[in-house]
Amino acid sequence: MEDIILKIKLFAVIIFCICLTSCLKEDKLKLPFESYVPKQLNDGWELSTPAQEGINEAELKKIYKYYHESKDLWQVRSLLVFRNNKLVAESYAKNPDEITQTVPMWSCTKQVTGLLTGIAIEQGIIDDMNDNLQKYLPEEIARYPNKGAITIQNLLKMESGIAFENSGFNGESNQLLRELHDNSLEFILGLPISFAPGEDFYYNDADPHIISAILQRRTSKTMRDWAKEVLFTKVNFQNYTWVTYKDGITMGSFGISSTPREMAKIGHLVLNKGSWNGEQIVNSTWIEEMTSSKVSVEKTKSWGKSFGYQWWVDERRGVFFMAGKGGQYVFIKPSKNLVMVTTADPNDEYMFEMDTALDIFDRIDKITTN
Amino acid sequence: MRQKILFLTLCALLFSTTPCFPQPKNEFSISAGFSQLKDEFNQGLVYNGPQISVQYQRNWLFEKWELRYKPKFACGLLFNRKMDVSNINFVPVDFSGIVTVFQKDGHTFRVGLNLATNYSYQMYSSQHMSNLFWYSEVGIAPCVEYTYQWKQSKIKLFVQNSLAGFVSRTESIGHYFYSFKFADFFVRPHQNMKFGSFDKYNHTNVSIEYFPNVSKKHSIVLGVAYIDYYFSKRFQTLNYYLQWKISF
Repeated sequence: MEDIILKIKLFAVIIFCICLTSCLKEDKLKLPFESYVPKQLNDGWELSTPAQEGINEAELKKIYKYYHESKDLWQVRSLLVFRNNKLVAESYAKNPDEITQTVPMWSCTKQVTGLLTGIAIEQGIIDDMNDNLQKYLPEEIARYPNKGAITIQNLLKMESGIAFENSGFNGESNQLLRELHDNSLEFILGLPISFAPGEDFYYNDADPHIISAILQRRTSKTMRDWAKEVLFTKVNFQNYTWVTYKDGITMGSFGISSTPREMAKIGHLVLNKGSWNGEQIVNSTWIEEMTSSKVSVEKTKSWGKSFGYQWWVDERRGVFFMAGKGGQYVFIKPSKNLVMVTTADPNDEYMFEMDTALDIFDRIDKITTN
Repeated sequence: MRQKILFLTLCALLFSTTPCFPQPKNEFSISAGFSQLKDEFNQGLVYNGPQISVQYQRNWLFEKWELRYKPKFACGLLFNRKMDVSNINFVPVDFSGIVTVFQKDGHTFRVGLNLATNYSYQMYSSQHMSNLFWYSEVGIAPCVEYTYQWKQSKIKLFVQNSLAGFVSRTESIGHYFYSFKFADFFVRPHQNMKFGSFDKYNHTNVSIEYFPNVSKKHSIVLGVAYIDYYFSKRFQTLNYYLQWKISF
């Protein structure tokens, strides 16, 4: 009997040891750093080396090693550095195929919407930034007259006052992502107003979507198709998709999926004040207006950065940038002709924060000659 | 036509034996455990956390064999860093037919075959917005059971491993738009079901059950359940549990 009990105990110990050693183990979340030398893809990018463009190579290597090896930055995916309109360094921390694979750029779409608004004003599609919605969406405003006073400028500055919540499962953004409403524009315009237009800043996905609807109404084309015609083809922005809501309106706030290399083309168009290969695609005055602070840090509050016309502005650093959910960024510093693109796994709770990404940009900025 | 005949024959067999069924034995169990989840969609992250389950079991005992039906419902909330995933597991159909092949001096050795439908759903509120991920399995699994009884105590070792079946798993997620409707819980796990064996998945259950006193109605089970789906995007779950059973 004692022998049997001993055997049972021994068996239990073996089972316990198996349990302890058979837990699922986390994989390495990033690839080890190998090289930042960019690949030739014939996608329009001229390649160069950091040294040739005045960036300290040894220090840059340290930054890339940190990017690949830091456990805090487990969610990052890509880091690309451009100087003098040339790609000097790139590396993909999770999957090298992402050099050509498109991933969601989320709210970086808003900055593209800002650029397209400038083109629309230049082409007379939008007469004046101070025009209100009554002029462009008269039928809808007849049904929702409390939105009639909202101007194009209010929309560009996220100051419409429409009570639209970006976060949460039942937030309005999620309702659009689940396509719960037949008509996205009617849904947005039907929402209550939380403050008078222009009175306050409230970052939301509704305002740029209304711009998309207006551009569609005025051009008789979806913003996606119109953008291809007036912007994307001209800057060789080819590897992308842009989703359209089921009512046919291109998503003005999010919806572009692309690659970091392609997003850098949008960044360089802005760096070069709207000019691409000698052709003026967006009015340079608009670029200056769009990327200068229109909503101060005091007003954007917890965001900690100023806001232009759909573009983020860091006045202290002399940087303006595109920013998308979860850590998709394109930083532009005109004074040094420097652009950095970085992408990350989008998640809500453990984001690649704006300031963390800017810290990396600062480190690259410091090792770049004037 | 052949399938209909087979189905009707099975039904006839089942119902013809019903009047011979002895008084069925019922069991109810609750369990708590530690669960892990690893999904290729998450690039190597492992979510860990508690899981609880309730299970009902009905046994029909015959001379040398036994028919068991044990539906189960389990839910867990697992974490990695600040992110969470809700994991729901539902087993509406779980039949096992077990036959005694050896019985002597308190040692009993039994073998059997299990037929079960297993549905599990994952909702990552942070990492994948609220996309619905699923893993479903309709399969057969051979099982072996060894029991040893001494005096009034009994110990039972149970091992079951999948053999073949139909499996379905989330294959891709949309870049932006997604659906989260009640109907998705029923429709999606039955979409794109693929038949396979060890080339697609492996589902193992191992448990040790201890009856302190066979004349009483309580027993305690220590078990582990492991699912590994590796046909496309790999999905693994591992659940260690401690279960308390009461029969009535």
